[in-house]
Amino acid sequence: MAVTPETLEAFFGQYGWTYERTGEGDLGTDLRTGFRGDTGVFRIYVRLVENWVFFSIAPFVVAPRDPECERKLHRFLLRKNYEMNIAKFTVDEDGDVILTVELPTASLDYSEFADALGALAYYADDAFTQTFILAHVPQAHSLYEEKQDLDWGAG
Amino acid sequence: MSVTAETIASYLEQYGWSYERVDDTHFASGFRSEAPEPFSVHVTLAPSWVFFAITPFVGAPKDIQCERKLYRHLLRLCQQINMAKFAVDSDGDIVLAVELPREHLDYGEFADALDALSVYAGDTFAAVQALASDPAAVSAFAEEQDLDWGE
Repeated sequence: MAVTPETLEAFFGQYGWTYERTGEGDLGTDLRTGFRGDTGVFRIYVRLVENWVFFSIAPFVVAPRDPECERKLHRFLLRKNYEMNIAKFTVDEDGDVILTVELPTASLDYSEFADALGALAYYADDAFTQTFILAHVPQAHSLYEEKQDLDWGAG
Repeated sequence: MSVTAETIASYLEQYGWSYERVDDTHFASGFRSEAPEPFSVHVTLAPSWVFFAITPFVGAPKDIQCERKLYRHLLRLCQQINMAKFAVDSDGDIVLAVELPREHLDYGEFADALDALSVYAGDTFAAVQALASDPAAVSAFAEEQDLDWGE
């Protein structure tokens, strides 16, 4: 069954989150929602295109200005990509960090829709503080660097 | 219904790739592309997920300058590709991965996952390898940015 903007609106109703339909055009249909987590308020953009639906928090954190912040931040994001299921961190052309989930629409049902929003909400709250600090504090250390130091100590 | 190891074995056979069943939840397979070495693909069954990964896709960069350019390149690629993502494992090696829910995984989705790994591996390997090993290598995304500035 084809997923339409109305399907997504029905899923939002079932999930219990308010949403706003913000645009419709050649690029697809856009909706916007959001939530208040433990670490901040996050706005989620949902875009439905022909074969995919994208859920994104963009920007999750704005681009770091310091090159050392950028290196540590990017390594942290790629380590997170290794650990996370369903979601991934990306960087846009401005260097801003995006947290995203993408699902094929071919067999999209409510449970996958709910998993996508659940994953975004969980990972956003879980990673926001560390991501923000790494992006802006050159002296900050990622939890993965600390783990690596511990590994070396054990050797 | 959740797929079993037997289902995965049958899907790999249908896809036409030879494989080794390493244990109850892990299959090793691979493919050749234009890259000098074949890619090793690992298919792993977790309780709720099936993981497909080329690991290592490229070994960890040794040079901090390479690291900086490579990581940004990989995160930019992540924005452009669907279904798959790049990641870094605990050894610093680069991984190209696809993950799908184990529940109701049908052959079409399974084939899409292997197709995605094959296509993205072939398309991105040369640049990723160069950025990981050559401090003078330049990412296509950095070139795009330079063009923007020039306008």
